[in-house]
Amino acid sequence: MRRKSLSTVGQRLPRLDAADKVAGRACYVADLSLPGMLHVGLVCCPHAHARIKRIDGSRALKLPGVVAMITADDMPPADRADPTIAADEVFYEGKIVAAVAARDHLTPQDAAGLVEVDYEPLPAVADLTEALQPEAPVIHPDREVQKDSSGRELPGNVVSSSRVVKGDVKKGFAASDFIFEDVFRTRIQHQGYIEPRGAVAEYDPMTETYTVWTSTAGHHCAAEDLSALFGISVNQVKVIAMTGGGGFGGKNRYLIEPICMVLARKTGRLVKLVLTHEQDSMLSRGRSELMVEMKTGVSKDGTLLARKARIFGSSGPGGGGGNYSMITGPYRIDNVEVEVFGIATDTPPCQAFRAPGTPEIHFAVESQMDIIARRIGVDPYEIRLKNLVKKGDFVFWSRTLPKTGWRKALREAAETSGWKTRKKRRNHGWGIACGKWTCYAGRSHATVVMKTDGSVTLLTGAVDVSGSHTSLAQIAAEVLGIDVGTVTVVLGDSQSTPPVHVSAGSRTVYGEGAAVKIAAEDLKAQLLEGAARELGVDKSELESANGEIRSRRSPQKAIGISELARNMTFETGPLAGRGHIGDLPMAPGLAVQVAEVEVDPETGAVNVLRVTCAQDVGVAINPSTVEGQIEGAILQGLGYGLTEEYVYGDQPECRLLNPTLLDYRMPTALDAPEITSALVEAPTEHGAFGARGIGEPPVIPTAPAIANAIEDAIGVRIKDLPITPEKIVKALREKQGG
Amino acid sequence: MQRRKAGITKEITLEVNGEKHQIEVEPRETLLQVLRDRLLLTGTKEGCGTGDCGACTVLVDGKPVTSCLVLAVSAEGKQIVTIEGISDNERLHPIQQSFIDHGAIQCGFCIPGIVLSAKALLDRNPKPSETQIREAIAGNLCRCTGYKKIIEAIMAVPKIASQSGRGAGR
Repeated sequence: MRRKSLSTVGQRLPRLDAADKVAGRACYVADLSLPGMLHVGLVCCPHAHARIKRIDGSRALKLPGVVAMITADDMPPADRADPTIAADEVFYEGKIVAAVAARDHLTPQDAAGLVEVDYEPLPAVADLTEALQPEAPVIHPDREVQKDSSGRELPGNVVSSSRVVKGDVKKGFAASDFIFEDVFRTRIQHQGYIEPRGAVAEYDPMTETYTVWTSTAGHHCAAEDLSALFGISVNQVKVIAMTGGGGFGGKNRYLIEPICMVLARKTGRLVKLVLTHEQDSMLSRGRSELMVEMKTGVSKDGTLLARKARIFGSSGPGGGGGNYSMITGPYRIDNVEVEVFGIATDTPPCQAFRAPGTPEIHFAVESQMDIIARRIGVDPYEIRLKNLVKKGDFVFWSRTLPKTGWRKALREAAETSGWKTRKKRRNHGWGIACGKWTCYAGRSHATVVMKTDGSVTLLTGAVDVSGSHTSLAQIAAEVLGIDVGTVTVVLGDSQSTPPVHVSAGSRTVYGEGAAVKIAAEDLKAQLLEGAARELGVDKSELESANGEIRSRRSPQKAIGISELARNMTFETGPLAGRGHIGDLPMAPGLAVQVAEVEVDPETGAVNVLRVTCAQDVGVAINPSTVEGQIEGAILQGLGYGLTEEYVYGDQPECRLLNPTLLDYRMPTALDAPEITSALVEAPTEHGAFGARGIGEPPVIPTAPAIANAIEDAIGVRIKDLPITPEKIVKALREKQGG
Repeated sequence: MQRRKAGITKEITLEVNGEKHQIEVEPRETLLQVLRDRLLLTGTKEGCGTGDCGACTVLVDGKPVTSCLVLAVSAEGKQIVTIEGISDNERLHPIQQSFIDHGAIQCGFCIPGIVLSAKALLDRNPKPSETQIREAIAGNLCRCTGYKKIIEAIMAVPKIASQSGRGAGR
């Protein structure tokens, strides 16, 4: 329970940036318009796999208004490792092969169309399972041949393999009463941010420095990565994070910024590039594509005894995909063996997406959990409660679970949703699923400055991707005993604050929040010392509340913070508190969701009626923000479960068939279920006021909860996401033997 | 690929937020491009450019339209309202205030478009049902909020409007 003494923490305050955003005043990168700015058009490869034979920009360069064109040859040498502009071979459709800059916003697309590129198309393969076929075209013929644990040579597109073992799987299976074997598939999902990526860059030849305005979750990491790419000092790249129009991990790293930088240097002008949604979805994507073969041994009473899994994952041409540490879900399994194979495909590479690698694996884990429960006749909720890890159990492979509210969250999900008294109608069903997430802190820093009138500036290097600045202001105000309205949060640019980690992995309120608390406490200690001098009392008897510092013993001895701040600033210098942490022990989160669906067996249409989410949130610094994260995550999970996937045409061309938002279906307001959030508050040891990261967990269980509800409704189990009407109708026909 | 014939422009008069602007545009320019790039009214956002996300929604003669699909030349003689046009300088429209009060704003990129879709609805139907609200904003994609707080915010507008003495539709 929250301590009653808290005044600002726990309040449902509006986001600090809400008014600017609702008025249309917030400045996103595409809104930047600077004098003399050039606009960029991109030449993108229309083939999924091709060799570039020749690029001729002479016609484009003759077009009035065109200033410059660049290709891979103009990029810094380090760009070859993971090219921003393809050099000679293209491994996915939409890859940038050239960029043209022009004086106005209309010419670039014309100019890009005039660039002549000769390609030698090569056979492509986009689908994960097709890439594993012996006759599939091999994307990287000179790769090192991979072998599985038995020494068998693996198909040509397997580019990496690894194996981890814990306990004794053989023994575990031998002790099991039941063995379950299933194969699950997940598909490519885009983060779905509505604001396409964009950047503006300027180059100053006198100081040899770049300024980059961009939509990013971390301007410090961007500056570090871009300076490494260009082989210059971090201080020669100033990155300014603009208001971001969604990212969900997709804007953690740079993508097109180097193009603006190279063009800015080449032309001596400011250069702006904003992608179209179509370009954006073809250049990068969110979720990896997985095939998970999972074998699980269970005792009669539903205890999980052993698991053996093979994860085949693709995150694009580089292979990858699949986080083995998630293979047990939030359950205790003592005997586990996992093999992970990275498969190269001609698909865009993954950028991070909310709980990277985790909803994919949880779809397998939580679907099979239900299959097991049904077969052995245990309630799906009870089997989860029975196997849920306890404090001290291994939870992320080799890491143990600290004290959490996970068990409470699971119980609360059942309670709030009415699971135990659930009623079913025809073609109507219920499903439950869990999702675990690590939640780390990362390098964090904050400075809390008090101005001469007692107002406070909170200087942070952490980009606000989720309302975190409002929460950070609440933490500072709580510590200092001042009105949150007097706190202004300043993000600064990559040169004005110490270099903190990117805002990702649900770390910001946990990590930066802890740093803010330390900084505010530092400032408060200085204030108490100053007040003790002013009031002639011992500082141990002082307290700070309601904008003043007073003696607990004799309350008439008090001084207003504004007066104190003014006096101290001129006597001992400006007031500032500083807080930093290298890292904190992880504070793992768990979200449990119960979905209620209705399925039309004629059309296969699934209507998700209601989703209840109970989540261990530590302490909700701002409950409204926490609910907002949960509600948004559920819709992303619903899209993942039912509609969202990249659809590719046949080999050997493998064209992407749905790069636009018309054909790539994200949930609308008509698809949104009734959502109930139950915030379970189990304070963490190290988070500010017990806070825990909360953004990732609720996206993890939604898809399997829906899949489980669908089986409950119509008796068919779909193991392949997304669960489209076609798959349901087909499964129903097969079940009826038709 | 569209080819430009250099130098072909047309002078048009656009009435935006009650103000008339005489501007030279190319016939192929969309209303969205003219609003953002020529009039610098950047509160209207470009998400997809294909009419699917609704971020560029503006009101044309009171109806919500995706301005990326409207040619600027065809908007001549019509009354265009953008997000900049529904609030006084310091006083937000009741719909905007309700969005703030209900925590309906996250990244905010879709919000101007949704506010205008909501305004078009409330102007013709001051007390809509939840289903009518969902239908009215079904063309506006939001990836952050799950729509719940947005729907609640719109539901609450009539109350806020009557308290502030302003019609929901203004």
